[in-house]
Amino acid sequence: MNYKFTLRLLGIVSLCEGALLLAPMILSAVKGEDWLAFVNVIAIAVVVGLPLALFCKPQKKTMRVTGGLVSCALCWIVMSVIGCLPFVLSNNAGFIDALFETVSGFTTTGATIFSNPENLGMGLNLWRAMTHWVGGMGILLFVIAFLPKTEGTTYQVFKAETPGPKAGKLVSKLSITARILYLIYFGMTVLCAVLLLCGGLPVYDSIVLSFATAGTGGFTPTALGISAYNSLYVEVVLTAFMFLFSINFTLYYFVLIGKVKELFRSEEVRWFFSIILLVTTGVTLSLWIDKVYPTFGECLRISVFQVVSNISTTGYVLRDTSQWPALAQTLLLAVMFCGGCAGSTAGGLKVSRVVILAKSGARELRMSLNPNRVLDIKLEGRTADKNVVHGVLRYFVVYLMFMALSVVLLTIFNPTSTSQTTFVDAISSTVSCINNVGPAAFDYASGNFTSFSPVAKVILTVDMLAGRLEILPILMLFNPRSWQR
Amino acid sequence: MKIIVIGGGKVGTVLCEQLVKEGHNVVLVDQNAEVVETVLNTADVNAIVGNGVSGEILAEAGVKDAELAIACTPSDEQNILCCMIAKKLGVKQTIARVRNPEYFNLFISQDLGLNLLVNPEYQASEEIAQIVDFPYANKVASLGDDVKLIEYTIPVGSKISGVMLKDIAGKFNSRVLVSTVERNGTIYVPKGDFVLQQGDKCCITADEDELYKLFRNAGVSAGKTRNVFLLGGSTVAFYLANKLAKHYNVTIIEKDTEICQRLADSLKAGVKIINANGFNQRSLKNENLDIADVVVALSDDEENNILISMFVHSLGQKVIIKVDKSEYIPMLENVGINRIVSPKHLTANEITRFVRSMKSGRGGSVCSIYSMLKNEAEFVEFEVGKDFRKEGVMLKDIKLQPDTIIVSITHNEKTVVPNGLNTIKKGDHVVVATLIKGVTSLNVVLG
Repeated sequence: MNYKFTLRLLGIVSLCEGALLLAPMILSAVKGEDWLAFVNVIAIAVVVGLPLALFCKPQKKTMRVTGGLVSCALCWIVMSVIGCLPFVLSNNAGFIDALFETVSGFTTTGATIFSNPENLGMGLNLWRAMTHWVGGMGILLFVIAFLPKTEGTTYQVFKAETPGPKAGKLVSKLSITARILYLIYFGMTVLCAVLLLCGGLPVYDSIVLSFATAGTGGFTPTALGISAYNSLYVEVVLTAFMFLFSINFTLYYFVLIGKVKELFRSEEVRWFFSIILLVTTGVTLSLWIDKVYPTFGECLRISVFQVVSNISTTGYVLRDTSQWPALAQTLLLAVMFCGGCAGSTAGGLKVSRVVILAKSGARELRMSLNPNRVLDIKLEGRTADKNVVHGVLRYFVVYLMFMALSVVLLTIFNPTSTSQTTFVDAISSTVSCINNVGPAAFDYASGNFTSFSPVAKVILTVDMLAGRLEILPILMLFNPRSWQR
Repeated sequence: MKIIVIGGGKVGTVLCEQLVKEGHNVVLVDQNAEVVETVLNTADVNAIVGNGVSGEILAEAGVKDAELAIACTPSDEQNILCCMIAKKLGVKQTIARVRNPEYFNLFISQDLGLNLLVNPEYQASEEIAQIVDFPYANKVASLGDDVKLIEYTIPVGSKISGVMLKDIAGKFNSRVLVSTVERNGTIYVPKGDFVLQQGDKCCITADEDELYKLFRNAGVSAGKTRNVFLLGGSTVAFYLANKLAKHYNVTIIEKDTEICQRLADSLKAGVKIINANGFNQRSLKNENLDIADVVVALSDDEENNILISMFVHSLGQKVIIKVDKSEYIPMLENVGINRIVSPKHLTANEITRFVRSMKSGRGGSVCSIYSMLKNEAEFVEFEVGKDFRKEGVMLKDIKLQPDTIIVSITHNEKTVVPNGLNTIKKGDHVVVATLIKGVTSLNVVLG
């Protein structure tokens, strides 16, 4: 491990966060809310970050794979701890609750412990939305993009933070790649905000919602969620942008440089679209047959929004889905596993992984008919590299085991003390957190985790981090070997 | 500048690292996904898995707006083809690695659209030939007809150790310029009051005669080199034997009968070719190794080269070794083997020179780069251009960048090691020693 490199990175991340906190600080000062909490946190971030960033000059400028993973995990933990302090210092939540909320924000999960977020005030709500925005693309990518050459190899960190089976650069220089990605991200967020504004939403709501949508997060400033706006226009805009932010950002780069065809040629996007189409049909029919909503049009409208919201791992809610028929609920839970495309801000397994898994399964079946047949797995019209396929299979196994462990732990630590559906709760909340979606089966309406025991909250916090960073970095933290020099 | 490197082998990898250090945007194309992954982990490049001959892959690598394509796959034919296709697809300049001597001689590079052919083996043979001519040095470069730049390690108990630089001229009756010194891993551009110590590696520039005088007066044995043994009949050995046969008795020891036969066919009659295992100590003694003045370990098996060099070194003979794996070099230096030639680095340097001259800065264009002291010190040769700012100003009045020194000036084909009274004129060739990396402009170096 290259300790100095990691410490320096931690320092820079903490300074960046201090800078980001200025925005909610100003807003809460203007609105006459508790802005001193933000001032204190910024002071802490600077006191912690400045010495590390200034005095840790790594001699070795390289970092090995483990180093990259561990640094990435540490950065996320540090920034979550600092990011949760505004909630603590303003006496809105205890440390564990605040940490849960912040991790849920940074990992773009959107599961909340506040039953009435509107009571938090505008400053804290802006900060909640900002955590989504920063976490969606990744703060380390931000560091790589906008700070003067961080020296040395940051590729390992980039790989650890970028979700998906393969992290691809757009251009030769990593810092330029990061800058392009953030520029696309920023541009699309602005577009989303402007469109919401055109729909008659207040400026504040448009900004907060577009941040939460861009990161595919799902925090809303009120407990009512999206239904608070009761506007078809808002729903359509949000559905469109949840979909757009779940597509591989590389494709937008191709569009920007004039290769528009690539967008339609991408196999992953086609699969993504097909899955949405299929599941939406299922959910709509299920709702219509059971006459949950009076007209077919309303069933369609609600199921399109909810399916896209779940598959993009945003987790906005429109209606109380806990009263829906079992088929619809199961489908909604199933698409949580899938998630968006690789290289997007969405969570979940990622479509490309799901496609590779499905194709590997199909391959096994065919192989059992002709054991000597030579069969490759094709993706994007090319034979997928064996290492990538194996990597996906390995990841899937680890992912399932991690999930199983979390479910078992949750049942031990008794998630909801009063209800009888503990088993379903444990499964759905784990699936929801590890895939960074947000709402769970017990209470779809608000995605609210207030009733959980503190231990259960910690377990779910780890789940969310593991899901965002794709498990390995978090597991590496517990491996004493990765701490060796 | 956008550069596409095709082939991520030894040369390709070094190139990627070096070109990124110089600030270029590099895209690597290689068929092997593992190779690509390794390079991505060490250098800030973009990479594409695929065959570099395919137009589709080259287009994906962005050949249209690239300024340079460098083909260094293991196959000559593929390299040439790559460059031709890349050129058709819009790249401005191309470089191909071509090893086969037949191609190297036959190809009229312009006709095929190749701007530079590089041949690591040939370059290595040139480098080794220079060292054989001047076997005190670890490395030799010719800056002009007579002026040499050498890298020299001061041996234990040498008369040179303990001498202040400004006293060298008086003590050894020799006018030399010590431009850079490496001591315990740190590199200095020394002033006159710098005291040399044993173990220092120094770069010395001087007239050949002055250098001979220095070594003679310092008591370094001046026995004439006659017999050169080449262990291993590799391509480098072929080129080297051709070069050396005129002035030395060359013996090649190679264990493969067929290779021996081929060498005997193609080499001049004066070269003695022996079919024996050059990496077996007994058979070496049988072949009269003790008469050799210089032994060159040249086989393609690097580990064998290292072992046999240690053996020859222990017999007290001068040994030159070809090693490409950079990890081995410090190990060899620890046991006192300093004459190390690395073909891949030579080629990478040659290409770096070409790249730098493509975007030649103000004041003059880069025509050569000699890397010394493990590539930490660069000796950059500029051709002084029209926009040179300090034309006609005496050197003592020119303020140089820190860690920079002028080591030679070539005026009308006559090269001199300058003193403070020399001036630089348009059209001159100036060699500047500098620790600053990636220098492209003479005006910047000379403040």
